[in-house]
Amino acid sequence: MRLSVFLMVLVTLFTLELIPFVHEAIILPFTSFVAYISAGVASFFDSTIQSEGIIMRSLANGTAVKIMPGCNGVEAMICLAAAIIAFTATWKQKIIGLIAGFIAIQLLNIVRIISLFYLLQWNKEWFEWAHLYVWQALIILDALIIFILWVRWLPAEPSDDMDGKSEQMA
Amino acid sequence: MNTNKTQHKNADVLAFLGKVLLWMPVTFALWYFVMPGIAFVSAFIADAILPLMADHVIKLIEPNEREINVVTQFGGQSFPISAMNYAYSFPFLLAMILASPDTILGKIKKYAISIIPLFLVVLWGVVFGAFGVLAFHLGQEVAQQLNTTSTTRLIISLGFQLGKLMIPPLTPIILWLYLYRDYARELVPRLFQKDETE
Repeated sequence: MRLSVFLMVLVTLFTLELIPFVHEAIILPFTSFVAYISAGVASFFDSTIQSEGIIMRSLANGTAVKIMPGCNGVEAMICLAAAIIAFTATWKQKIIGLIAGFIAIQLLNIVRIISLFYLLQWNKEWFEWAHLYVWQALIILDALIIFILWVRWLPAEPSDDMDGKSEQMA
Repeated sequence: MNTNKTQHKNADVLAFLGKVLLWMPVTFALWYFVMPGIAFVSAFIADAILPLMADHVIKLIEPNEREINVVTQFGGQSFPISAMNYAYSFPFLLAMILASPDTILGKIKKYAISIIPLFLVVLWGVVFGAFGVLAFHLGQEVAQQLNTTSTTRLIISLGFQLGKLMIPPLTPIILWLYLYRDYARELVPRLFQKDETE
């Protein structure tokens, strides 16, 4: 992996995410979609749950969680994308890794949001604990494992059409 | 690609993940109890740095259990910064180290080496957190005293977001990849391919 490329892509994507236009045009609609999907999944076992923008709410007891930056999986996806882009592989392999990584991170993120939603109803202190510390670590760990599995999935011998000639450690 | 060997190695990766998940409740519980110490050290270092950077705005940095209090020069007005938001790298890395194959002494040595970078993570968060509050949340008068430009406000904003969302979760991963590169090489030989040929 080329560390300089990893850091450059990481900081660039993260800075892009913070630009107000990108935040309004991409991040907020995407976060609303995450809330919609999370509420949809939760409604399989709890019909009182609805989403409204980036808010997921229980109609039964009024409990609501707002999905903020850091809770939509975008940062973990940025880390994974930077690692995949920096790694020597064909663009086809990178795109497969990015799509698989996106799905895996968002699946776990939906579990995070739903678990936090119910944790909040049970105990606010445990909610804060899980929200601010534990799930942050778990999501990035998920990205690391996906990256490792993706690298392991790559063919052992680099093919001729790879976009880089050298590989360096992380 | 899906040979038995690959599947065996994938199982090793998942076994490592399982061990990390088993250790995390233990390390996070331990972290809760030592957090006042981490906050104390972080506040001590921040107190040496922050007033130097803005002594006309910041008077004092002091620990308050698991938080850090920033006392301003404006009539003693103060605000808390939760050091825990930036310090969960400590238990996260410890769980990864405990889940890796090594001797007890090796694990202790590697964690001891990591203490300084982990404190730097907290320090980054506290410094940018403090400047973030001063520049954006305490009103125009305080913000003007900081003499910020649009560029410095952008840097504060980016530094704050990086320190909150990126650096604390990413640092343990990078430290672990460095400290346990031999084990990581076993799990992912291609990740370190150039090292082996050098």
